[in-house]
Amino acid sequence: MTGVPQPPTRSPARGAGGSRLAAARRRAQRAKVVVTAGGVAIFGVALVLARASYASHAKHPVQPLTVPRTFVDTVHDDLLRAGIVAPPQAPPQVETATS
Amino acid sequence: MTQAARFRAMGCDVVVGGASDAQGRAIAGLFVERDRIFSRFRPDSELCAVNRSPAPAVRVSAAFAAAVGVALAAARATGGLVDPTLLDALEHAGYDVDFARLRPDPRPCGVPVPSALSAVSLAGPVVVRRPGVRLDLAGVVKAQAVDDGLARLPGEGFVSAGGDVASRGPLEVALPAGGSVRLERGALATSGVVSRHWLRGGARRHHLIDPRTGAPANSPWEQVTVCGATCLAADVAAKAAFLLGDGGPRWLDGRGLPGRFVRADGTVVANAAWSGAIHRATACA
Repeated sequence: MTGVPQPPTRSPARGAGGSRLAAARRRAQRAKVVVTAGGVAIFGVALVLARASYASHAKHPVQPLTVPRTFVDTVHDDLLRAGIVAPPQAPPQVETATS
Repeated sequence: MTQAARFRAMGCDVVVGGASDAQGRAIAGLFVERDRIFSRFRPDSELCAVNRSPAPAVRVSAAFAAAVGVALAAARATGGLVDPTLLDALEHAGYDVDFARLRPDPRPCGVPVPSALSAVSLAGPVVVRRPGVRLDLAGVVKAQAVDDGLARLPGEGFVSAGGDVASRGPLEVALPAGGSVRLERGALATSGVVSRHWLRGGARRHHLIDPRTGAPANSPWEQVTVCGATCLAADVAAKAAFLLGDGGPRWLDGRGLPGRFVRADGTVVANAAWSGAIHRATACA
């Protein structure tokens, strides 16, 4: 049996084009995911760096101002300031006693 | 000095020296007004209204808010010893009617009631407390009235209410258990159990409640006299020193407050600040 050798059968043009297109779409999809994830990551890193370095950003949880304990004690004890007594120089005019 | 004016208010005798008639009447009005607001034996007083209220936050008058603020400041300054939340403890000890009407009662005292100081706060004109916590501001109101009365005198003079004395200008003052002293500046107040005590359950009780136990204090002192820059300072410090017992003289010395202590047997003990003031003045004379 003789015959002319046939060139290899090519896939139909439509099928070959669809495969390449699908591959290109997959690459584009991956590229979008990578770009989006990279953008988010860069934004997050920038946010953290800004909070850590920019002067107006609070770097710690807000807390009430604290003052030294001795100062607080002094203010509280200020209610209890002393008067001045001296030896008597005349008969008493009034009396201090429990009521 | 002008003739002293005398009247009775807040359950004690009040003497005002150095005041004109109009000034004396104004000071008497001040005491009557404070009594009307802060008496725990007048059902129509603001104190009783606040104590009756079941609300956790009560809007009060400016005078009432000021007194609560002073009472809380006194509590802070004394480490909680002078406490405005011991009314239940006082009543459980038997002091549940006006002192003049108090009679010996054979029933035992109620269970001691602990302090509720941490459950009370002040936010502007609003008193916030845990529901059920009742206030007794007598520990600061009388002394504050003495200071406020003295502030109404234009010149030298004094105001004395039940033995709490504040003076502008030197004043000779008789002391418990004998002796006297010259009050050069400030005020003298005496706290103790000599006159305000009663029998309950067969035992002597008194009105100075120890917030650490919720019961009348067991102190070696009968009377403690303190000299403060104001009558409020003297009165608050005298109460705290009484409650601290043997530690009272040192506590006063730690704050530079002259104090004089009288035991039940009449023995008098002066702390270093009192002794030093008297001896320094004597040495300089």
